[in-house]
Amino acid sequence: MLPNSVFYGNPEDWLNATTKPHASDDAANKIPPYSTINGGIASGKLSVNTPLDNSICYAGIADDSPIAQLYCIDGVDYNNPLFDYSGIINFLWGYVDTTTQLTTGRQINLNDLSDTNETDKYFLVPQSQSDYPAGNVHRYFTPYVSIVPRNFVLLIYIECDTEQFNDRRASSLDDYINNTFNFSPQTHPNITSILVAPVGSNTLDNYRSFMAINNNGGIALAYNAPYDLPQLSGIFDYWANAGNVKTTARIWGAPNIYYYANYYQYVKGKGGTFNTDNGKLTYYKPYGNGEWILRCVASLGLFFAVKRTTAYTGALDDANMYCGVIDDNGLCHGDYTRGTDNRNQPQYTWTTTNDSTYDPTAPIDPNTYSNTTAFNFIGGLSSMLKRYVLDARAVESLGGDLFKIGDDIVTGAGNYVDYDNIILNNFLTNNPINAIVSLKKYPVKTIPHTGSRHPLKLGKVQIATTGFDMPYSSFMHLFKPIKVFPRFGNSFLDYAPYTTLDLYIPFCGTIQLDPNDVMGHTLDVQLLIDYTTGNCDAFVSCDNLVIETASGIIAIDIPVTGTESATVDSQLSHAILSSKSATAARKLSPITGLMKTAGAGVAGARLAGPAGAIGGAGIGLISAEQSAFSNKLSSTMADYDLQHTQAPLKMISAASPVGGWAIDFNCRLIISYPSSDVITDTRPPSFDIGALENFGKVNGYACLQTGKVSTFSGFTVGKIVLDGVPCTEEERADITRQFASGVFL
Amino acid sequence: MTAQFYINTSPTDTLDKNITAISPIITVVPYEITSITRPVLILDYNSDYIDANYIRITWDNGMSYHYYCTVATNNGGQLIVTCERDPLMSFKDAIKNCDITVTRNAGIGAPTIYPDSKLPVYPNKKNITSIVMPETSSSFTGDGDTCYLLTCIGGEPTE
Repeated sequence: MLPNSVFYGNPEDWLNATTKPHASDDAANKIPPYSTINGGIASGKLSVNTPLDNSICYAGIADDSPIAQLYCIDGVDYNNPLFDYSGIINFLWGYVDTTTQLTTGRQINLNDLSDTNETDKYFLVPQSQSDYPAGNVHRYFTPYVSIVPRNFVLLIYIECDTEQFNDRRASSLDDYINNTFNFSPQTHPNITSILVAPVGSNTLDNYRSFMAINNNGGIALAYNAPYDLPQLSGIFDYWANAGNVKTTARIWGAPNIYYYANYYQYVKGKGGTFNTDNGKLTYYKPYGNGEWILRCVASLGLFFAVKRTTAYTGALDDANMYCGVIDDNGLCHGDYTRGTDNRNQPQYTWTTTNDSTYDPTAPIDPNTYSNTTAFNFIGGLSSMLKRYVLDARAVESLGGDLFKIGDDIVTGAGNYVDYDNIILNNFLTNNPINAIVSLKKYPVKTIPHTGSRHPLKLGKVQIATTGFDMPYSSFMHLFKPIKVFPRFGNSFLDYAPYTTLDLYIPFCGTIQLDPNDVMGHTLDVQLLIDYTTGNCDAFVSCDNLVIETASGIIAIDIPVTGTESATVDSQLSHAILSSKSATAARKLSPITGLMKTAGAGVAGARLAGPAGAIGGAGIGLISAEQSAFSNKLSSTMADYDLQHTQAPLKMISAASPVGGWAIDFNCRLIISYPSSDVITDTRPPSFDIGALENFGKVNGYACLQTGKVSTFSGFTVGKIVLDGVPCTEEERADITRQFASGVFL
Repeated sequence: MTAQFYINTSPTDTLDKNITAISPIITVVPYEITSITRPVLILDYNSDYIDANYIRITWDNGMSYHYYCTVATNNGGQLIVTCERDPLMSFKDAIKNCDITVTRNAGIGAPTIYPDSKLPVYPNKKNITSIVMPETSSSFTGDGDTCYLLTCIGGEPTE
């Protein structure tokens, strides 16, 4: 979409994007000047609070973006009543001069009462020069509209100076910080301003060069835009030109992010230290790592770079090319992408900024959306226990060492009388085997460990068995992502309920996925294993957004202690008792029912059921008031508990790690899709509809499309609006009825 | 008032019908009181017109319409042509310019995202297949070459 010619006039009159003769008259490569927009009454005037179109309102700056947190214009209180922001709209703008540089500093008269056209208040610019055609009231401040993003890269630029402020220089930020140009933080420690310069070209996909734009640029912002406008007034750098350094390579003050910093570590910004400098308000902000600068520029929603070479010749997906992220509302929050990730941004495919869907007048969705899920990896947890990674041979020798351990230390002490005390002192228990908390077997070739192999230490005693130390950390196992490809040409047959998707995840079982969510998207599974507990958690992502989780147990517990055996015995005992109690209650229930019917009002004796064995879940109280049904159910449950409380199988099969080991260790997407005699081949990527071709000729395919009748062909069913057909009412009804049942076009 | 006889081979629910002329443009006379939507014509007998099932009539006001027709003879050896206007063919150009919301269309060429109950598939008869997502590091193993983790009291606690 090209700019609105009503506002911008004939594209042939637009300015070239560079000083060089433009090779193409393609309007998309030219800059329609704002001067044309308001070139006199004939072109109309702007309406307050009404944006023109997307050519200059391609993005909004959200109130949480860093650029919205900046403070005021230097030397002028942002509450100055001269600043009437009514009608100011969001666009890049700059002074366009294709012939000469300015020779003197120029100050903008913010209170130009001669502006009888009342345009001054809209854009806060002067209109007193005579070297432009009469009626061009904004001849110095021409906005960039219809920006071609791929040929309009913002280069982060600085102005620096010596300690004495006597050698003002300009350089790209990257050159300055890394001392790869002529000026460095050492020689010119004062950053006087940080700004961006557009680097552009008027030929598509050609090298970019600085644009023929020199002074007095700016960003104008919508009065009703969703950010704190006064904080943005710093971009109006009206007095920055008072110096004597001017190039054709920058937009003064646009977007002049920070100004008059004292040493490069400190540049002005909200939240910094307040100071005064020659009577001007100056704010200092730590430079830090410069990330905030990137976020400021990203708030403009265009491509940008910190390196000159990238800005000049880098592709839009160059590793050093950045792109401001525009959210679903068309707002920028300071986020950015880099390198190949830029391809996912809408600006990557924009022909011009007119392609933006941003509408400043649209209601703002207050939510922030994210298409990715971040993971936190837990590591370095403190523990009073010791973990060793062992191989099978070490496990076998461990048993022998346990038998020898007591004899060794008692014999070494030479005192059989104090055997118990010696064991207790070394193991905090009377049985060395109870010093073992757990022994788990994992289906992995190696468990991440640290250090070299060394003898184990049980309690205070070192034994012969060797192993590796293991930190308390979680580890992520990855599976190769797949794209869920529609087998039926992305038709309704590829979605629920016709197609169903189940994802088998090793150790976690099978989960059902909604094909409506994942069809056509990339499916990814990450398995987080906690080697200390033996638990694992699977995270199923659809295009990097976690949509499902599942849990399981990957480790097989190896029973080694007397305590574990006692636990199993206890569970068996409880299960038997539960079964008996439940059975008794079931037999009693008819009697208790009679009692209730008789209105005895006596609850009767309560039989307390012991807690269930499995998973610590209690069977609960079994009372005389309970129905026969529930008693029968409880009885069944107790019997089930009893049958399933078997050592050591119960311990292993609680989450079926053995079963998990029995199936392959890969994830597997199980696709169930409908069968048809007429669809002869559903294998992607081709979708052979076979006999369906004839079906379609006779019946058509279900759809929901609108348009002129002439745009459709073949058998067509629909609701027609017979406007302009000079038939009788009877015939009109007949035609409508025929289209409702189908017409061959 | 003129007319031309045709043979129509298209179904009635066809907008742009396939018709073949079997007569030149001839002058006809309406039979008694007639209407523009269901006219009855009378003309001299001509065996070439007996098989006509379609006719295009151009009225004296210059308007021209297409009609389904039935040709019969009377006792006087004349042809009586009973007509009924075909609004689809007669107003096809105007109809083509009308807006329509289409719910089924053959030109799409394949099933779409919209559920189609007419499509001959068996929703309850399913095929099944699977796609493997291999573990990328190949670190899982089920044989004896597995690892054990011992957690115990003692030693210098690991961070």
